[in-house]
Amino acid sequence: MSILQLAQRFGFTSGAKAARKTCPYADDATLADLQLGHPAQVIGFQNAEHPSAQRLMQLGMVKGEIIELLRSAPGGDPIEYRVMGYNLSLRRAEAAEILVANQPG
Amino acid sequence: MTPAEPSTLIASDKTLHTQAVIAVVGNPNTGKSTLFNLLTGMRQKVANYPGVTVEKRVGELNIGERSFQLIDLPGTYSLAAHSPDERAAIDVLLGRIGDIPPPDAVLVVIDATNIKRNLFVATEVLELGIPVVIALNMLDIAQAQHISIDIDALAARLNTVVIPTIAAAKRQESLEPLKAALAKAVDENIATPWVLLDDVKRAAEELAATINTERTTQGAIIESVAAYEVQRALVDKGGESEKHLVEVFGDDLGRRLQAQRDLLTVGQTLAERDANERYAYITKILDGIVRAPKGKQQLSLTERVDHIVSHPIIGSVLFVLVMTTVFQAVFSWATPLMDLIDSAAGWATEWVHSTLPEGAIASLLADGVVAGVGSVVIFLPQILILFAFIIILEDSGYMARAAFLMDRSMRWCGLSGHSFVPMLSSFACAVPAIMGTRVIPDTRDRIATIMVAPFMTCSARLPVYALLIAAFVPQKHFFYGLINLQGLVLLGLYLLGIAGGVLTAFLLKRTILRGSAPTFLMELPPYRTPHIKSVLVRLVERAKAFLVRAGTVIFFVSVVIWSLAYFPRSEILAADFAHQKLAVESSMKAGAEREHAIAVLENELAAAQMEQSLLGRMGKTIAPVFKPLGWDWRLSAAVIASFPAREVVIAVLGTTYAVGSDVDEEDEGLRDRVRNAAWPDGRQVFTPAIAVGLMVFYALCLQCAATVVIIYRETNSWRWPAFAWIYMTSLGYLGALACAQLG
Repeated sequence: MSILQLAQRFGFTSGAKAARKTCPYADDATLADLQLGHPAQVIGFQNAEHPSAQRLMQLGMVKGEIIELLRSAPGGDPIEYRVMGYNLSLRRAEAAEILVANQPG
Repeated sequence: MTPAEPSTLIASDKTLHTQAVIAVVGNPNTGKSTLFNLLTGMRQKVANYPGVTVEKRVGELNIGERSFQLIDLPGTYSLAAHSPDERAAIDVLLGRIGDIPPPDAVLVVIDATNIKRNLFVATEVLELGIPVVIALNMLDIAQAQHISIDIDALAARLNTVVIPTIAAAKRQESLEPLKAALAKAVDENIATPWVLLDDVKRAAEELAATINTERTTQGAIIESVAAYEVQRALVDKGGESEKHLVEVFGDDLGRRLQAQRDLLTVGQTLAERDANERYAYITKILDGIVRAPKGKQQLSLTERVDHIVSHPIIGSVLFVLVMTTVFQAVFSWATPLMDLIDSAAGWATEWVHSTLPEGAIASLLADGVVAGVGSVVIFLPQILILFAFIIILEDSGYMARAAFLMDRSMRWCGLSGHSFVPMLSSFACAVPAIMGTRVIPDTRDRIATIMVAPFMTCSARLPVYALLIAAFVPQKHFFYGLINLQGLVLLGLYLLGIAGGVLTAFLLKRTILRGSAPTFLMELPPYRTPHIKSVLVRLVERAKAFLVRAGTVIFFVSVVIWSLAYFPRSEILAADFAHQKLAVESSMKAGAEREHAIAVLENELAAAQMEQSLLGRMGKTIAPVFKPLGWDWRLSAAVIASFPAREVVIAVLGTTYAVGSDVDEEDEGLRDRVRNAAWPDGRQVFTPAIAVGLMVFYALCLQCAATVVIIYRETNSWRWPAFAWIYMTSLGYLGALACAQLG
């Protein structure tokens, strides 16, 4: 048994293979609500004038981008996401600024 | 010097005008600095941009017979600047830094494994109208991940030169195509005009033209405005470009900018439009060019490692292990080297005393120069080992994971996870810790961390604590010998330092360093093997910075303190001593007893000379200030002398209490003398309250010239070191005062 398999058995993986339910996100869901194994699509910002909004968009949080939850730090904050093929960490408060919807299809 | 010296003056004068400038731009973690180091080797200079804390790294790139000036700009995801530090990139590109001419070409380094996000800043640079060469870096890693990139098609669609490079380019030859492309870009000087938001660009050009005409008609000598700066001011609402323009041209311009912004904003803000349309364009450019394996991908190495390293429980345990290892290494590997330096200094002192006749020169060399140089060099082993670890942790990608894990625990005092490792490092020595704060992206957080670092109990405080605790804290045990009172006091002093630091961060972040909403947008880069040459280049640079900047100041201060303690010499005292020595020699038989009697006399002479020296007189003059703390003139003099380096207090106390200056904290004689020191009326100087007060003073005070100089170097202003010194000294004084008055 490989280390990876062992890790999976004890729950130490991202859960990417978790059972896929459809439409887990409500209409007012934000990135902070993201669940493991359920990527979502960015639809915009709570407030486009938020001081971090421009930086977040430049880092890839633009309309239509698919974001995946990877993990969170001890205490559930900050949170690590996969965006545009790289890993980005945000504080929960920043993640809650970004509105998301279910992936198309 | 070489025989060619007479002509170098003319040559350098000529190159000053003809040497082309190439700026290097790119995202963080793209291998940009490694590439820069490979292109320039050790031919680089590091300074600061005026007024900000970012370092300006300029190197020389030789292509064939020609030499180019290469400028490594701080890694950035966009040219939008929201803090003074982020301005550096745009300032260089627009040619607004005094000693750097506007660049003739820009080298944009992009990471082949993450082209999309990397092209964001690349397309911003394309808008500037400067010739661009793109280095598609990390191509080897992209290939290993089965990402295929049609480089020719990418170059054609971007209408610019794209040169593939690999992350770990070991041989210079592999950089030849890049060098050739850079030389060609400078020679041909063809810039590709590229526009993203037509209307915004036109509005910016019109506004810039109006401002420039107004400027000339008013006859005022104000710098002209670049259209791109106005464009940035329009897009980055509340950003640095807007602040800068309003500062130069007044609030009226701010209103005109906002009016333009309102006209151009339809539905979404300009920043939104800029980001959305830029990424839409990039997506279109990359369509069919980049092929990444689809479907069920194998987990990358980084992902697999992160399952363990970033796991809330396992990751935290691992982090404690890593940090323990680092500290073990810092203390155990550095100790033999430090002992070696210590004995070398001791040997040099003895050599000076045995070769030179006794007098001012011998004393200056031994007690001023050797002691001064020694007090600088002795910290070098710790600094180098700690720094090597910090650089390797940073380059491998682990530092970001540590910041991720520790962010929450740092947040309540207003800092972020980035501050954790530098703060921890300051328990060994504040100097590398302060240099290590360069990993903190937010300027305010960085300065707050720099202000906290000197509070932590560094290795130079330990001998002072050891002496004071051994002299004044009784050997008491509690709980069947499990807890020792002396150990408890030491722990208390450590905690006092931490409390002082945390409280300082808390206060600073709520007052003068208060910023906009705290953010923690951090990329967790893929794990990579650090590039040895790049690590060494930075290590050597840090060591040089420490030795040159801190070394010169500490050396100077040591010589000043020495002169204060040495001059003036009293001839009467010396004659008196010679007289008594003769008496001893004639009355006692040669042997150990006589030697001892002479040594006692010598120490008494040194103490008497010290008392009437400038330092002794200063101690007496300033004693009233320290009187409320319960200190006598001897202690006052020792405290003054220990401001350049706190551990000096032991040697000065040794001299003033007449037990000789070559004592250490373990010395029984010094311990007893200090314990029994008395006021003229016979009262004991060191009551327990006064002793505790003295320890509190040493815990809170900034008595380290090296730290003061490094704070200056890292913040690029005397404001912060002055603040730190005054603040910490006042805190130490008040702490000691509270102990003396309450005890």
